[in-house]
Amino acid sequence: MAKLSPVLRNVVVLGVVAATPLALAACTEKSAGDGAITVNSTDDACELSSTDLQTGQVNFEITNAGDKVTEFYVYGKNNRVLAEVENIGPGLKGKLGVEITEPGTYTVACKPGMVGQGIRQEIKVTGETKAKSQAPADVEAAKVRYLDYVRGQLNGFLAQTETFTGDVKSGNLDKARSEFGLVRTFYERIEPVAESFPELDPKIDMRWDDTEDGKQPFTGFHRIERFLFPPQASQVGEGEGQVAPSDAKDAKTADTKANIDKVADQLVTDVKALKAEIDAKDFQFETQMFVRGAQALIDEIAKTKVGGEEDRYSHTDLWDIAANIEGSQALISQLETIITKRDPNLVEKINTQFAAVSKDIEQFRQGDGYVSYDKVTPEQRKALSDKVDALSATLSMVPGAVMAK
Amino acid sequence: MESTEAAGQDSTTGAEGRHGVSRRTVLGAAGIGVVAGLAGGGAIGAAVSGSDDASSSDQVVPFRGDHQAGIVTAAQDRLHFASFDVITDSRDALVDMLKRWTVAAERMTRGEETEPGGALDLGDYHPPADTGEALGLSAAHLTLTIGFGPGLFGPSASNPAAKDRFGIAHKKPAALADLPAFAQEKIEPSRSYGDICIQACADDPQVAVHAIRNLARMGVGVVSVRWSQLGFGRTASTTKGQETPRNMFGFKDGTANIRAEDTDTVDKWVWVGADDNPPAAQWMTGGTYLVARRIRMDIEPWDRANLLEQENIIGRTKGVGAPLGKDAEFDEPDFQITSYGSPIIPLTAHMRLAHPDQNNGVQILRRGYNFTDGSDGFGHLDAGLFFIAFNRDSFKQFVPMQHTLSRKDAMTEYLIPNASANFAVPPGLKPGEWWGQHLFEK
Repeated sequence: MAKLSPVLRNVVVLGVVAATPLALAACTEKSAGDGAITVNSTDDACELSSTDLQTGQVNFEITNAGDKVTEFYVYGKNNRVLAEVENIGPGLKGKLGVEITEPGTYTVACKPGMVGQGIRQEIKVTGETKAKSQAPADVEAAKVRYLDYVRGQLNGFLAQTETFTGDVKSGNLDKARSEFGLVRTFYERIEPVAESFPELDPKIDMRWDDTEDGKQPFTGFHRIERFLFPPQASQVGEGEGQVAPSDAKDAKTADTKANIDKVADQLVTDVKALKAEIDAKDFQFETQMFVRGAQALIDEIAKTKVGGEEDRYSHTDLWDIAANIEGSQALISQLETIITKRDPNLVEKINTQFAAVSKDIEQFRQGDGYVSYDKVTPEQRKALSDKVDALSATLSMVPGAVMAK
Repeated sequence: MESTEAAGQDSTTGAEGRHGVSRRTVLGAAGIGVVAGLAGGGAIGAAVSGSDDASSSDQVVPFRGDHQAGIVTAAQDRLHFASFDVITDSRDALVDMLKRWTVAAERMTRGEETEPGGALDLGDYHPPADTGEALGLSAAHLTLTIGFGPGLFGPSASNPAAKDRFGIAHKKPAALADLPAFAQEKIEPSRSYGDICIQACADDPQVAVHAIRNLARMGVGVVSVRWSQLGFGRTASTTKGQETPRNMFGFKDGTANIRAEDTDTVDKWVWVGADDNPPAAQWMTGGTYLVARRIRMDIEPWDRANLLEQENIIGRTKGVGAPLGKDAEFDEPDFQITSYGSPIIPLTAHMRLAHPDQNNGVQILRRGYNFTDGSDGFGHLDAGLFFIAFNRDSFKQFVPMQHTLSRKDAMTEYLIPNASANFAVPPGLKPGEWWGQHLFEK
């Protein structure tokens, strides 16, 4: 789980922002600067130099004239974030480039203090519908095929989530425990897409660390995981992959049957909402996220999984890791012919390294699933981590290869 | 001070030549237009204008020569040392990495990016090939020194199950093995040993860290960092022009060290000779062995020891560093003088036990650094000496000396050696050669 997609997260440069979240036409964007819409963000106002825009590349230059750190967002339909810049400190400027292809009404927001809905207003975009110019046609076609895969996974995800939460609610807890690794598989395979929903993804996949030590509601899979695998005294501690004392304490009082039933119902609602969003005909999956997706999935392993912190109560991390790898492979398989055309050696390297990682995972197979991650020794984790790092480094070459004209 | 380099360095540059663009030029030409333009002229602009205008060529230590740089080179202020495990069994992959490392290393020692335009000019869809944190900084006398550990050649004491993955077991020099256990040490395997080491020394910590970081990044999939250590405040002088620095105990350290100018001494005790090895290991001729030891110092108890005790443990005065009973730092110690029947320089004094006169004349070239890795859970400084020494045969020079010290040295009470490694450091590169070429070429 990550609240923000990798693309959106990478926007801060030395406290000053140079963001190109959607700017696949970033080469043209660099020459912009003149013609940018200036945004003056104060602690109680968000003034744009114009709210009538033309389709195509739109650049915003945000000046934070307030006393609080601010953010600037552009929203599309259904309140979906099209682009954002974060962490613009008082007195600093941020830049944001976004390609708007469809005319219509959009919403922008300044968020002084970086909380809440922000100071919102509508902008009107007129002009012709513009084709997304940035991605080569074969990449666009690959993305369409990939979305078919994602939608297929979501069917399975919803069905499994309903079964799982049904077992939780009806008290079939042993069965629910045995299903926990599997149900997450579907989600972990499609994380690059799921993560492009900065409101739904945390609700479905948040961890205790995201609750600000219990101040925010703890929802989703990991909350139910904590109920099914209550933290034992031996698991409590401050180390990586351990259960924080505040977390364990909260579990004792908060994980009642009634509370968990509510969390389970909410989870089904959220998964349905996610599925509806992605099934929608006008769902847009940004090309930048797509071409980086295979690496993003592998980096998920490197960031939160090799250390065992993702499934800290159940230790089913190997299920997630395997699913991230499968999802990454599925994405790459849609790009494989394109990569082969442009860099045959890269494909060979990718396939070799996928095979090495998969072989590493296979040694931990047990029946239909995997051994508990706490049985994986530090040396084995390091060896897995080395292979994951190597694969990620190779996959980082994919965007450059496929986006080359 | 750079003249000391001339001893073993020819001034030729390699096949890559001197045509690379310096980091500063890159920023000046392309960087400001793109990065600072977007950033509104903030921090990066300041970094550029803040950098000195002097040509950085006077801060470049030649990368190639008869011996590797970073050994008799005047000790720089900062260290980033890294030890790598080789995680592939593919000789081709390892050789390929060593070749890429060589090109990048030579460029970085000239103050350039790992590859031309690597930090900024590869386009929107490529990860930069240089991480960029040294943009605008000078070469800062960066030296990169490579060594090979015993595990690379097959079984070793630290890894008896290792195989001869690269078919080089027959080329293993006799003096390359893991160091034996010494008294009073607590070696932690997770920060000891390793198949390859890189010693990065520079006068700017960011330049040294940048170099190690980029080599590690380039080596992903082939090598994995096993452990690394940052150091500051050189704890030895390696040339006569340098003043003797102080260690974390507050004492001058390295007064009796080998100096680069004493070429006969260096030849005798540092550089491996042709007679030292059989024909298969001649790739080491002109090389040396690097001993690395992380020696944690018991700082707080030491600070509570009175000055007399401190001086008696060291064998020198704390002020000028004179041998006890003498006046000046470089006065010859007299181990015979007594006072009321006891030696003025105690029999257990560190300086006495480490002195060549007490070790059959044996010497080593020390080139260590102080380190501080924050504090431990008790609020005690995790600090000490990251000991690095170069010698012609660690088992004939360092090991006997260390056995003596670990058993008798009064300072041992305040030391906890917790990391240990021994590496074979090949000779320097001729133009066009790459790191490890003579070891890996059939």
